[in-house]
Amino acid sequence: MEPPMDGNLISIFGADAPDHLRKESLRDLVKLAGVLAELREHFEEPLKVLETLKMLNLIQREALGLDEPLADGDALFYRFRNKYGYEPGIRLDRLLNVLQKYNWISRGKRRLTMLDAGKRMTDTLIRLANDSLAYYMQDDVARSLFQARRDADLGEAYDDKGISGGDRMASMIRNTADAVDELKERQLELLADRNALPQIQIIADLMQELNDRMNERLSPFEGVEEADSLPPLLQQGREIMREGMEISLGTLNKFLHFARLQQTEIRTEISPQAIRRYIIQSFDKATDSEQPRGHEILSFLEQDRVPGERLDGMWVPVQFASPVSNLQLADTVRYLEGYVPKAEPILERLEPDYPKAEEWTEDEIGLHLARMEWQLTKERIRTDEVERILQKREAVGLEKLVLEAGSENWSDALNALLAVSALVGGQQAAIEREEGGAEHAQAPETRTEWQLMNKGGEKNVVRRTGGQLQQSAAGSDGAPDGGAQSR
Amino acid sequence: MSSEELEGSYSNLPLAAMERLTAVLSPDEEYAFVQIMFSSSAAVRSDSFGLSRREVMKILKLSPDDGQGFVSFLKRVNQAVSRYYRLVYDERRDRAVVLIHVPARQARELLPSESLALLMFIFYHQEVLRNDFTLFTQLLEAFGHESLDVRRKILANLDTLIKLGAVSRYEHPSGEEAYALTAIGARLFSDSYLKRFTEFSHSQQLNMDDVLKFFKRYNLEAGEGM
Repeated sequence: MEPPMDGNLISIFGADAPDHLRKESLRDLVKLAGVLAELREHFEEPLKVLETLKMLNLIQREALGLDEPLADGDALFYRFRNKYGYEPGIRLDRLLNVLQKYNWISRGKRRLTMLDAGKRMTDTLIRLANDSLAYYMQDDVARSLFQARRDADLGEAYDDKGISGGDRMASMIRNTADAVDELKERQLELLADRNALPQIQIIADLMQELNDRMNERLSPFEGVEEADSLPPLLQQGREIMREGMEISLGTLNKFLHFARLQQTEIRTEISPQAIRRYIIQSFDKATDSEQPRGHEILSFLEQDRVPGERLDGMWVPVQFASPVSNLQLADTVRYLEGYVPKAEPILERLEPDYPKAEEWTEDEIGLHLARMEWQLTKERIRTDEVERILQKREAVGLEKLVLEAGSENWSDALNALLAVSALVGGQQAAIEREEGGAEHAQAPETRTEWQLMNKGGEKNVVRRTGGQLQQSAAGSDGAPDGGAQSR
Repeated sequence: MSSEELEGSYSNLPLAAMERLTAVLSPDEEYAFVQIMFSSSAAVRSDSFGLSRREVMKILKLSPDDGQGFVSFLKRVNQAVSRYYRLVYDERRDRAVVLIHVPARQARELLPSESLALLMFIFYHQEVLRNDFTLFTQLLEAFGHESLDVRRKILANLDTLIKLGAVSRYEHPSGEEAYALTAIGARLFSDSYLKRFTEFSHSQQLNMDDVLKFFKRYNLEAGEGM
């Protein structure tokens, strides 16, 4: 808020404040901060703060000449005990040391005195505490109003005397607005409370007083400028004041009206005109009227002046919602609890990386198919052992091979024989009739449970064919790259 | 505080009162009560609230001319639960509905003040003056000079009342917008509310009996006015 009439309002923010003085005054605040910081343990607990303030107050009273001079810390201690009837719990020597350090007090040989800075700071601290106390002593609606009135006080105390107390006017308007909002919200409660009259009265009085003071403070502005170019702030202030007056007086009027109603004589005839008029009136939103509206009547019922009235509010159909299963509820709760909004921009969907298609000739396809078929066969029939033997030797007699790959048990031999036939089927080996190859055809001497039945079977020799295929088949369990390499 | 406790115990009692129903009602009658209760709920049936007398009689397996049986059913239900629920049969509109008692504090949140005023007007117009319906133009005329943009305001509040089932649209032969009070709307205001309302309108205390007489609430059948 700009200075009202003349331009020389003293403000720490003003451009015309002499620099060195501004620094000096700010140093006061530095001292205050220093004391508060160093006496941290004194200012951390409400009760200790109180003792500290009491102590400061005692020193200050001496400085103001209200009390006898203080000789030293001990004198202070005993004065405290005398005055308050108990011993202070804070560390007195530390307090005095800190105060001395920041030049709030000085300690001579005989005398403990408070310096000017100390007086001002102590004053401020105690006033701050008292302000808070006064604030908290109000109930919630009146608090904002009280604060607004305090703003008016401060405005008078400072701004009018040429010292800026800050934007008092704005603060006052804001506090009043808060109080009016609160009042609107609480109006029905106030009406419902049979004993709320004193409270409503206080609020209405405060509002009235505030209105007068506000007018007083606003009128100089209006004199200077034309009415229609009023700063928005002032206009807003007027508006809020009007509303506040209306609602506080309206509440008071309705309450009194209701209370008075209880004193009247009981009448028997009812006038339809009056009813109709009242119905139409209760539709309107006017807040200052004496006549309560629908909700306000319900609030009055809450006062329960006629026993049972409070219960007898209205009759409505029971509202049933379709049943919700607890599973659904649990799901919903989980979803809500785990819900994390997407704060980052959504990433673009990545295209999957497709490998390039390989081209095969018909032969190659045949080869691959054959290998796949072979792998499938191997899945079902254990050919490893036979393959191993064939790997070592080019050709082996069938009987010998079966014995070596299997055993003398016929079940093993059967498996081995199956493997051989699989190899032959897979074109990995061939069975030939070898006439001369005695060393291959040599029948083993071991006693076996089995015997090859076909005639001349001992002359059959299994020979490895298709070397490269066999190698890959033998050496791998079907990894395709093996085949690709061998090509 | 004792009044708080009192209120607390009230809110627990309805269930206990329901327990007593088996003592006075037959299974069929219980079933009918629950059916009426359900059909009275705005959330279940959005257009016509409650059951007609014929439907109730059917559930009760009463012969259509057994008026005595029907009245006895109403009476016994109300005797058992009437502090908290009320089974209302509205003869004019042929509707049986179950209403629940809402204490003043909760009732404040139920409807806006404007809706209450509107409903009171319709209530007065139809219950006291015995009109079958209220035209929208009549509402407009009554409230028109009181506030700005009143048409929209009235429509919005009527909508609220229709949702609650207190008012329904009335098929007027001339196609004019008209509204009829339902059985719910006719009983929505409690006796105490009507008394206080009338007292405020006259700035004078009144007798409950006179008020009820004025609003044609006296002599309600089936002990429902207790």
